[in-house]
Amino acid sequence: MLEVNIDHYLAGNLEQRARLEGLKDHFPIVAHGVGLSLGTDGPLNYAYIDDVIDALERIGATWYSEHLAWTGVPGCELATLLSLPRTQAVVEELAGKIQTLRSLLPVPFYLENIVDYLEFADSVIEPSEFFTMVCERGGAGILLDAENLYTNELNNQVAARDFVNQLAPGSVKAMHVAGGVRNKGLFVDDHGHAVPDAVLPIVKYICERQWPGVIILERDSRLDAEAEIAHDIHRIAALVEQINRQAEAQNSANAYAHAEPS
Amino acid sequence: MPSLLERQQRLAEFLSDPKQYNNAAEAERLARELDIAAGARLGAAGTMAANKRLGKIHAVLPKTMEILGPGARHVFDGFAHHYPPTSISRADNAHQFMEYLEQAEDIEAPEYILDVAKFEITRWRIIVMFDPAIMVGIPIADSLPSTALVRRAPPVALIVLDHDVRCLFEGDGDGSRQEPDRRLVYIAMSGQGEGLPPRVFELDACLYDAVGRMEGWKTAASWSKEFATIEVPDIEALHSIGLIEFKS
Repeated sequence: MLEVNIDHYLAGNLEQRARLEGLKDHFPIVAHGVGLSLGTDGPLNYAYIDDVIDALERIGATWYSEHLAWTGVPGCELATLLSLPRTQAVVEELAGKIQTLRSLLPVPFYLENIVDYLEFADSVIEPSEFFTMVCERGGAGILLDAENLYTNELNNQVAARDFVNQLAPGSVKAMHVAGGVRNKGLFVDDHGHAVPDAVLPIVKYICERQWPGVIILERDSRLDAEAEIAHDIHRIAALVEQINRQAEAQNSANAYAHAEPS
Repeated sequence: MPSLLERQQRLAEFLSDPKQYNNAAEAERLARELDIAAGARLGAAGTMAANKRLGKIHAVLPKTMEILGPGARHVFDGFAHHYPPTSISRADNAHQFMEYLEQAEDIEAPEYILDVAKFEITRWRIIVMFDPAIMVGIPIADSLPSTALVRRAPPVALIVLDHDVRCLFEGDGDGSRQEPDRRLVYIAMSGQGEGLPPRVFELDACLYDAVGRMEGWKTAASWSKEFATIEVPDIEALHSIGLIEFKS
């Protein structure tokens, strides 16, 4: 499976778009966006959504995902995913927008958790509860970013496993894994370095409870570090294999226990 | 308490301006005003946003940034203070940066830096952004039918430079030699692929101006009248070097 950044597609010329469209002949394609800014306090950007819908059909994406975040306001585009105040009013506003968005999209919509670099003092809802409320009320599946959970654990002391425990079984449809780097006391998910070893136990924890079926390694920069990327893929694949073996062993043990005469 | 949109507008303004987010006292003041915990994080968030924007500009204008050298970050900070980011596009941010270089008076950089930026942004638009020409071709027999439609080919860009900055990209030289009013044309080649240099050559002023006017489709007959006053080539010759395209 290949995840296409829908904003790269939209910014591409005809030749670049044609190359991305051709990928569906070789891989199952899913689409991920950073330009919708769902959390901007204002109406949805319908012109952008029309472009996304057209792009989804052209690249043959089987789902479209975005972030629980805002990235700018009219006239100022920061291109950085920023947090929102975790209030009931924001939950309702976002859920309504997501319902509208889903009614327009030709494919399922998934929402991704972000790294919280900002914290609003009027936030009254816990991060995991806020995320699940928005997803449930908006009807969005969850794209869970294990790296972002790890980063929030390091920077904000929000326990990754507690966050995962709050999610309804079966709600996680896919997972992101990425690397980051420490910068001036903060861990930053720059998608340009190796996946930290400490992220893999979080990935395992998520898989054991949710088994999303799809794990996507995100990589936006230092793409020439091929050995590092290959090593990340190898480590994730080995982890998945280990989880599958454990699940099979558990299933066999359960089947044996059921088959035993009482 | 201001509305969420008002808080976001104030934050966007703050986080896009290094003069604000690099000021710890200002960050603490804004954090109190907008009810944000850990005001110190505002500086980090601003730096992250700035790094992304700087990366976009660097992708389009690598030589310009190289010439600016260690002072590039200082120039960027001055730029970001005056030019809020209005787009996620690399080319748009680079174009804003070029505008800043054109207008700012206190930048410590060689005089030819603006021509380098112009050269690079035109290359970028040609190589990365322009679509290959979609020729709805008609055979050119002995002469082009006067009813055929002609226009400047989409993957063609025209710029005027005052310094010999081509040598920075194509050969030896430091780009500082003055060559006022040099009119250059860039042509991206169909199927050339991303990252390969376009063809670049110089046009004389009359031809440059005429080609500059050829944006929309017009009949070959009407363009022929346009070119009748110019010594240089007829439109079929312009077609042969890729400057214009035809359709029936």
